[in-house]
Amino acid sequence: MRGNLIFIKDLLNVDITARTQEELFTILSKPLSDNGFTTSDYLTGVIEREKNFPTGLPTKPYGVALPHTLPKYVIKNSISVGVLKEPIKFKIMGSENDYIDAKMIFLLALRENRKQLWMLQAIMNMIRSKEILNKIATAKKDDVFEIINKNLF
Amino acid sequence: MSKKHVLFVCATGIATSTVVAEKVTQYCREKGLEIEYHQSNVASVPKNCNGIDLIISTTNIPYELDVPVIRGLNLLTGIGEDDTLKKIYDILIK
Repeated sequence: MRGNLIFIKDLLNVDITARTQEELFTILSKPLSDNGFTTSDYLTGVIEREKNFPTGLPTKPYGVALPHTLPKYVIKNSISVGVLKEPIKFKIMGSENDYIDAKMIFLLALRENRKQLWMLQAIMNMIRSKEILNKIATAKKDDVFEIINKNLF
Repeated sequence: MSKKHVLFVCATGIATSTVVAEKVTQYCREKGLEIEYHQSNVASVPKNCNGIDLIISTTNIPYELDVPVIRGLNLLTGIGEDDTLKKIYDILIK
């Protein structure tokens, strides 16, 4: 934990099977609300926000998405990470009609965005690395947890 | 050269725009160009673009503006980052 950001093994899911963003967000937000890190309407907030402000990033060799929502749905700063078996489509951040196949999802639950910028920067640095993305996509859960911990904190 | 004013935009005006702003500010400073950075959420762009030389945004900007707009996505993913930074610099020194 750094800067009061929580990332525990409960908040990492690999080999996820989901066909839609809603299915995916439901899986990833469950451990956040089960642990009391977010409010019960966090999921709805994420789904709505992704429609209005898409968060897909065309990184290589795998696309990444960083869904999030307003601080009012968040109780504790935390991050839920998912690796999909088969990627699903996300609209690219800032685009009108461009999509990427997202394989890794970093679902952010942030209370005060400004204080958590180091985390956003750490994620950006992490997903620029083909090597790290390759590892996250293929490694076992415990190894993925280690890789993210090492690079995020 | 007078200071250039750049407006950084994202959905909230807090998160990704700050990551992009730090990158651009640092790049320009290394080239000897001081920029003054302003931030805005996308909804407030029309009222915040007075006196702005360039807008760099990670969200879609659904307005017609007199100010040039550059997409900041490459500065997040790192892919094509150098080209985008150079383009930004070229617009600002015109």
